[in-house]
Amino acid sequence: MSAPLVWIILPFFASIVLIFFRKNYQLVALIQTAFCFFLVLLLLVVRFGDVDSTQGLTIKLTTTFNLLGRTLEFKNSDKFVIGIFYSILAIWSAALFIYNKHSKIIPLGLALSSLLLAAIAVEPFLYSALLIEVAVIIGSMIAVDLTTGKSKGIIRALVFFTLGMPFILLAGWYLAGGETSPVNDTQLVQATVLLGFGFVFWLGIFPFHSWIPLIAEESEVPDGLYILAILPFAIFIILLKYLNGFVWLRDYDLVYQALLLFGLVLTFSGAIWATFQTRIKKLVGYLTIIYSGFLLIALGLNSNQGFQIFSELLLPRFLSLYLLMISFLAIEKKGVIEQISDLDSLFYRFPIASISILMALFSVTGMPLTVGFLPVQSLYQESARNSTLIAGLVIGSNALLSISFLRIFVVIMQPLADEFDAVSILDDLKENKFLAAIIVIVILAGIIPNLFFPSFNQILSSFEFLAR
Amino acid sequence: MIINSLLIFFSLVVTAAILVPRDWRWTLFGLAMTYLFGFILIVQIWPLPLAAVKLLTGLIGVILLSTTKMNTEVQEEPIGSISSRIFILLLAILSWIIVLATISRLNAWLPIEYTNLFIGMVFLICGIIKFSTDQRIFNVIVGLLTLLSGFDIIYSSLEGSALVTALYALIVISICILGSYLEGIFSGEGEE
Repeated sequence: MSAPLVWIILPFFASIVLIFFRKNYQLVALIQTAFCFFLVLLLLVVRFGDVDSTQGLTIKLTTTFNLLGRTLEFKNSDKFVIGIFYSILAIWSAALFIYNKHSKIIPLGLALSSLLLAAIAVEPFLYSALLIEVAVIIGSMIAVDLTTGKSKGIIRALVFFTLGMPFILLAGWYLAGGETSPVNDTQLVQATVLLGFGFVFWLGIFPFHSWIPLIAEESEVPDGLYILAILPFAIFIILLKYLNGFVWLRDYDLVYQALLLFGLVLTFSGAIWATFQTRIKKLVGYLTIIYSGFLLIALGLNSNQGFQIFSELLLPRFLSLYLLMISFLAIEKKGVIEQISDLDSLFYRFPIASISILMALFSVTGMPLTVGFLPVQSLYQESARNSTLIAGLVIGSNALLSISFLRIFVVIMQPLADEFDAVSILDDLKENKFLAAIIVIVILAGIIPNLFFPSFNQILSSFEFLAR
Repeated sequence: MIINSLLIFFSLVVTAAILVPRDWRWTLFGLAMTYLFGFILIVQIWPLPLAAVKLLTGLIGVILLSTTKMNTEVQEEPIGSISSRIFILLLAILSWIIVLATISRLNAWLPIEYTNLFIGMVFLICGIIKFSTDQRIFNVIVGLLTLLSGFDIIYSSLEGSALVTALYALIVISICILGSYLEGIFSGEGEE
């Protein structure tokens, strides 16, 4: 049996089969959660390929799977990336099960994850563009909210990803054969420009970012945030794969300068828009833009430390989005929140969910005692070593964000004007316990970073030529 | 030579049919024609079955969209004035001129048949104009499909594989399903 069969083909078909049983939503949600956890746990006991191991029980799987004349390939070093995809889907599905929230992530999330993994695993990897396009279409189906009647964000995402695909495919064709053999300067510039355009569209670099806040606002909270969590992550992994795969590309300084520039533009523009935002869901969209900016800056630093920061930034990114998602789920069970002003005195009505929202927001800015502290501080340090201007812009962006979040803090903590019925956290005990557990994890990761962050550095083992 | 010139001429007529008329039937007829043109051009390079897959998936997509359109037609109000249609036609003519002016330089970089490159570029830009000038879901979807059809003519001349054909077919069908789904749900529900 081969690894791609287990982690790509099987989940894809499982997703299709589960569609037919979706009437029993809770059961399907439970099956999907259990299946995803099983896929993650399985990674702990399997070895891809002929790797010698003397550690306990191990199951060996072949690394390749042939599909229509091309190959899907997972190396042993890809296990962590696969684990991230299914861990995220597992915790998202678990939240949907616990809150009994209907979402198209159940069961389309399995198809989306498997397609994104196929895009990462396909060899030659220029074909990844086509698989990403299919994944985006599935993602659009997940993100569309039938109740709002709005589809602007989805349509824009589809347009931008479709515009990006030809650039990546042409760059791939252009570079075919150039993986080891040198290319001349003109070819280098042309291929870099093509790749650059492709990734600018895919990563939602300004001015092609508008779909991100729109999806955050228009879609149901779990659907929109899942797409925003998983899709850019897959694009980043493909970007790393390109950088790792082409020797001349990773040695080309202009590429890293462009990454730095794009990262700064995303971070700064995202922070400004977030600061003046009055709609809470759109604000969350801008937070994902800012985090994409951080990740690009970390890559653009082109140093071991920079790549390490990139991997460490992923944890606060996922945890922040997850915390926000489950907090909104808890709140929206009893009312709708659209504007920041809707959070007025929230602490007195939903104390745990309020703490959770604040924890998620301040994690983004890297406040002490939050999961974002270590990577964001490291980013400041490393970017200051590179250029004071870059560090200044990153710190300035975070300062703007902090001011904005302090404003939200004040709104949430606003005392209730009239007398109110005291709420008990025992009212929704199961949900509150779940929320509290995630908050504890976020704080633990902030206080004891060595507990969580070193494992995230394993992502870099898939890109052996980047982490030198 | 004559056939190629005729193909180029009719490709311009097809883009005009996609862009200018208000009636969705003309738009879908134009889209179906782009798939037929794609088939005629690709079948000269690829085996018949692979080229036929592209034609068939395209036509299935057109049928899907037209079925949805027939069911939602009643709710739709025709929009756009004569001046807007003249503007779009002029935009299309401008794009043809740009393609004509740049095609030889592009051909040096992409070593494929001149006819394939020209028609591919014309369709590709027609798609961009279509979804840039009209925000309605149906027209954006048609624009995307036209863009993909144009790009497919170019890319098929560069790279041929069963996986690409299968994925391309999947993308076209998926976009049509998504378009039908959104069009069916949201038509007349306050879309801007």
